[in-house]
Amino acid sequence: MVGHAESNFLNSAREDPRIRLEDVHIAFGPNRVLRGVNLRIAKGETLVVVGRSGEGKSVLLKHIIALLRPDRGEVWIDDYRMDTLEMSLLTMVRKKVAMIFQGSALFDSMTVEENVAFPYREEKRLPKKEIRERVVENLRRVHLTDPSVLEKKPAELSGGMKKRVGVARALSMEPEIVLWDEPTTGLDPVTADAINDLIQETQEHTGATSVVVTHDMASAFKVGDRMALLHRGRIVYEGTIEETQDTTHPLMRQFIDGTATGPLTEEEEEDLG
Amino acid sequence: MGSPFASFYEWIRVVCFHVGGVSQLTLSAFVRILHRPFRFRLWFEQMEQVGVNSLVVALLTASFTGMVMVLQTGVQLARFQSENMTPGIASLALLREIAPVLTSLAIAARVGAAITAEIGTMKVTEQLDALESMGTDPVQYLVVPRLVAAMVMLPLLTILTDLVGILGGCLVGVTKLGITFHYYLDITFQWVKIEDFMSGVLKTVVFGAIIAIIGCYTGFTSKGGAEGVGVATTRSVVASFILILVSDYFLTEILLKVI
Repeated sequence: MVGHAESNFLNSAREDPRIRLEDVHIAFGPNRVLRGVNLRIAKGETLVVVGRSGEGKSVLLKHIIALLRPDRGEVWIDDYRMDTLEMSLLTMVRKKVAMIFQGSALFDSMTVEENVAFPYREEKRLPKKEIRERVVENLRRVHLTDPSVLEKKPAELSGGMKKRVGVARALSMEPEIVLWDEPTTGLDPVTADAINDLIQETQEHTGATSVVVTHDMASAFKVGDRMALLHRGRIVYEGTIEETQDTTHPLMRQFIDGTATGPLTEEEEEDLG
Repeated sequence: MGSPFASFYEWIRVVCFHVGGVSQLTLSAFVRILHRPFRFRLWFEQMEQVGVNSLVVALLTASFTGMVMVLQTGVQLARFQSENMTPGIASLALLREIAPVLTSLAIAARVGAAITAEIGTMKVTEQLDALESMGTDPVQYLVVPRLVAAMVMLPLLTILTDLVGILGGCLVGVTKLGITFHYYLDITFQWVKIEDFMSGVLKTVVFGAIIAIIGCYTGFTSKGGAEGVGVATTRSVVASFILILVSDYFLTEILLKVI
């Protein structure tokens, strides 16, 4: 049975989506990565996009924030068409969207404090003292309470700490939409679960609409309201988390079970053959 | 289509692509110099990188070049009993060509390579994407400070290298060629006019822009991991060298008419 909140998100995504991708295509040279992605994401929901490595999940995420423009198709956030938006409006919309990158993408010439303060400093609205207080508060939210961490450079941090600082920097943007690119990849299971908790806490704290791209199914089931499977450049499955757990959809089932043989890999073998 | 034509066509296509990219970046950087936000802190940080931190390299290059210029000129002119012209000829060559060009090449190797390596690393580690995703314009944030710094600091460095080059030449003139210190400076000031000095210094404003724009462009377009950044850095230095030398000829032609 589908949960009440999830069912609401499903209806809301269909009728009044916060993020909308319509028939998005992109190719890099001969490699056609997205071949007609259609996706609607409701306000306040967490949609998890899963798929095999190299399927274009991160590419899809970068289209939402217009870091990549589609060859064909449309990308919308609210009433703004992101792929054709003029620069000043695009900057305004981007300030509502925080992206947490796979490798954290912290500015390595800056300290942790400078990284987390960056969005505040760019806004130039707050005095220095208040910026520092907010930085400390955002780091506390991601469970980094040791004051010595403020002066460290990203190169001195572990993978898990980098992710946390990346989340703290995202919190500094006070985002309405959060895009998570492979948040648990490359982390040990304990740290990965702590990051999952962090995603949930961030969701609760900000009430933001979230899109999480991952191939870690434990993470997907823990943090998501709905799930979509990206395969061969298209969304081939969409469903709520509860529906997905019991799904008989052959592609999604194989992905959940993590088996090497099945329709996901058969098509690949046919291609190679 | 035959393969030589195909590869020639591909070469032309790639060259046009990069010429377009560099032109677009140059235009957007110059437009953004005049637009808010003015990031003066970043401008001064880059001025320190380009100017202050390059001082030793630039001065060493200038002093030894000045010395070797006077040594070579003096020995060759002695064959025609004209060694008394050495200070004038060497100083003119130094101020008009040698000091501006060699200083720019040294800065292209030191600063241009560093700019490409830094921006290229930011590109491959998604820091550029992060910057853009936070609504910060990478051209405004990264290119403009480097462009301003290079265009301001390279002429200032050249003024210093002019001075040190002449003094280095004077040292060799006095110790190796038997020219007196006063005679050396007298002849230098008789031969060298303010236009000669200005012509050399003005050229370095353009060379500074070339170093910054090429450094940033090759950083922005670098691909792959560490290897890609390495390739981009090499390309940046080679392209800057070639563009400095080619533009030097055309700038000289223009400045000879104008000044």
